[in-house]
Amino acid sequence: MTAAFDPNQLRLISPEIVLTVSAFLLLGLSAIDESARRIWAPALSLLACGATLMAVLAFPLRLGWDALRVPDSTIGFSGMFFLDAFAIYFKIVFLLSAILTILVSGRYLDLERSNSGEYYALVLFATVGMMFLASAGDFVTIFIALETMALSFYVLVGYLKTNRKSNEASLKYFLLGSFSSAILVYGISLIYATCNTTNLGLIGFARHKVGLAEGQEPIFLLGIILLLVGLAFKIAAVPFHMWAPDAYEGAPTPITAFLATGSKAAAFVVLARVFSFAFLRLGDRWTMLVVILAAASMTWGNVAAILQDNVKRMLAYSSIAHAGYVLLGLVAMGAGDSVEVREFGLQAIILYVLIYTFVTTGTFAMVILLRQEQMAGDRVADFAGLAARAPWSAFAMLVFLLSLAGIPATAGFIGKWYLFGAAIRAHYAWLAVVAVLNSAVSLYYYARIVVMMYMKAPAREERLVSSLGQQIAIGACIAFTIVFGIYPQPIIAFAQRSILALAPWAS
Amino acid sequence: MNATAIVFYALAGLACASAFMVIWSRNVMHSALYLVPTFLSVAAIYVMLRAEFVAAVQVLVYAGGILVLFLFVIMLVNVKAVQGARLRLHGAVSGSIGAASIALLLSVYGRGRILAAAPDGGKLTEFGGNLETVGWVLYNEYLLPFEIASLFLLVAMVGAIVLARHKA
Amino acid sequence: MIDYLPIGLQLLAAAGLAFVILLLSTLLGRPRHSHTDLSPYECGIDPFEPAGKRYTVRFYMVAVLFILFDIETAFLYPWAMVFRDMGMTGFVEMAIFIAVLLVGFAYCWRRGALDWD
Repeated sequence: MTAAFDPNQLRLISPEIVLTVSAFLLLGLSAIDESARRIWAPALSLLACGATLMAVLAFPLRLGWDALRVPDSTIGFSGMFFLDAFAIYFKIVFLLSAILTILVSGRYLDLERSNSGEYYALVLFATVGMMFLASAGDFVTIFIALETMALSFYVLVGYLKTNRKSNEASLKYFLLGSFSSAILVYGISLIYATCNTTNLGLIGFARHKVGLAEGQEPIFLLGIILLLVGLAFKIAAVPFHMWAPDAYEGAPTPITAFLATGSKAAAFVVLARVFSFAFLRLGDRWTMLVVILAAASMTWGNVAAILQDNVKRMLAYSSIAHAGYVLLGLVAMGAGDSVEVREFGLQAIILYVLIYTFVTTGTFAMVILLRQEQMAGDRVADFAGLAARAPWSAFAMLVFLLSLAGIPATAGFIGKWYLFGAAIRAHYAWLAVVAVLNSAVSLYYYARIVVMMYMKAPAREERLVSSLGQQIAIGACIAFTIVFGIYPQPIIAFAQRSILALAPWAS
Repeated sequence: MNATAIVFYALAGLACASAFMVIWSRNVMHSALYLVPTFLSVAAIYVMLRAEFVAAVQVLVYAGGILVLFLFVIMLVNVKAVQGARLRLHGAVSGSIGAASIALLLSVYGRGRILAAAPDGGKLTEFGGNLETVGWVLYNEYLLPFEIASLFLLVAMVGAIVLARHKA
Repeated sequence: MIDYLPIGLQLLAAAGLAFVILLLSTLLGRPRHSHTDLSPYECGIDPFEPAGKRYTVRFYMVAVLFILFDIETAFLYPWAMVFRDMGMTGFVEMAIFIAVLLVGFAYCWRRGALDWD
């Protein structure tokens, strides 16, 4: 055994290094200079995300997407790190999500009197964790990167220290998050106990090519179940969703948006990579569990959302329901009887995650916009008469809500079309019907906000004050929702090019 | 039953019994202190598995550091002894769900089979002890997670300061 | 496994000694617990609030930082076993690890997490 580390491998993680070093700078500056941080902290973190995005995009520009399609040439750190098109796709999603979050944060934090450099540093650390997750090819990397992300989120959720709801949210999220991590790592340990490796590819190889030793199959399956439960906590799928409404309601609203998009997408990255690399051929064993999770999440999420008066809580339940929709893609990966169907399921997942990131961040950005000097702006009633006060904002909210409900000519429709189509192709037509019925239910509570905005008299008259960052973020989200709702080919092609090169033993 | 099995069951029994006392005890301080025997017997079980490094970390970090942290936090929030009945509907429901999960796990363990010895056990000792092997694997194969771990510790540090700092 | 027998014996001896001392003092000592014996102070005023007061959050800060650096130290033990054979690579690997934590340390220091006042 000799030290076989090749420094050239550092090139593979150059985007992560850029972002980490920027976060260090941000920390250092926030410790030195207390007064000026309001201006430079968001600016520097945006710059960092931009530079990282460039570093990520440099790989496909330099090597070409096809070179990233076959993973062999892009595996580093003894199989711990995969730099394939799939990873790059998600890194772009995470960075866009972080950029949008930072854009909408500044004014909100000023109003909450909580603006500080550490906030942005923690957002960047969470993003670094997500980026490592996107590339993780080994359970150890997955676990440590997931925890780095989660730990940043526990702190960010409780960032409003004088707000009791924020404290409560942080504590609940922390406790349930820790339990779920414990369950996850228990599952990993059982899989390690049977396969004798933590590497995803080698686990698939050990199970499908070599075969497990006698009597180990039940333990291996138990490991998969525990792993699924742990990740179901992270995506807030029913019945493991208990933390989500409280955490979403109590967290600073920009963090709620980041939690609903970035953190959820990160858990889906792990689900997609783990279940395609390690467990794909075992689809008949785990698909039923995913079907139950999906149906329960869609139904309970949408029914419970009807009862909410707090918009953040309502969107939390809506986000639970959306996790259920995305799980349809995983069902197709497990139940599909050909490689095409499985790849279609995967494509539907990653397409939806991208669309959902923009639509959800846009919706939360509208809630943030309503947070004014004299108003918390997170009740449904606070939207009353928005169309009269701020017609463009009301229109933006309308588009986001229609997109969340999956109305045609919005991006959300494209995403749902692919997900439901994947379920039908995998012979789960009844599940697709459940999903469509649920979308109809969701229209009801989205329409409540629309009715508030357009048919009620405004409770307040003063103009909505917004920052440039908020305007840019909302503008970007609305442009994405409408443009790709009408002309979705570019993102569909992008998703198609980025799906995993499935392992050879998978088909 | 050979000597190893007797030692193992004694240690496992101690760990379980004192873990049970952690949740049964009404005084929070006692609960925290009952963790010590649990941590130590688990460390001893690690030694029996020839995982000396993990055993040392268990004693250093858990019995040494984390327990002190628990005691400080208990003194910080000043929890009074838990009042009221031990078993209410809530406790009964969650208790039975927990018991059902444990029964499920045990039944799977009963049906399945975990290898009796660590697969590379022989090679480990031959190579010169567990710690050196851990070093080789950790700083070659698992280099990336190791470096991410430093980031994780940094985030924990920043998080603790952000949340607990009382100055502005 | 037999290597650990002395440690086990020592643990048994320590626990046994403590037990024997407690037993002997109960058996040999005369039980006398008057009211004055059990009061917190044999003279002066009775306590007017419970002794379990809330501690300051600074204890928590110290404990958390201690654990984090404790974990860092734990990583140094296996490294110490192999760093001669790993050469420069091993040194740089650990240097990066420590450097990241030094950033945290500098941040703690600068933020006053190490000050008591």
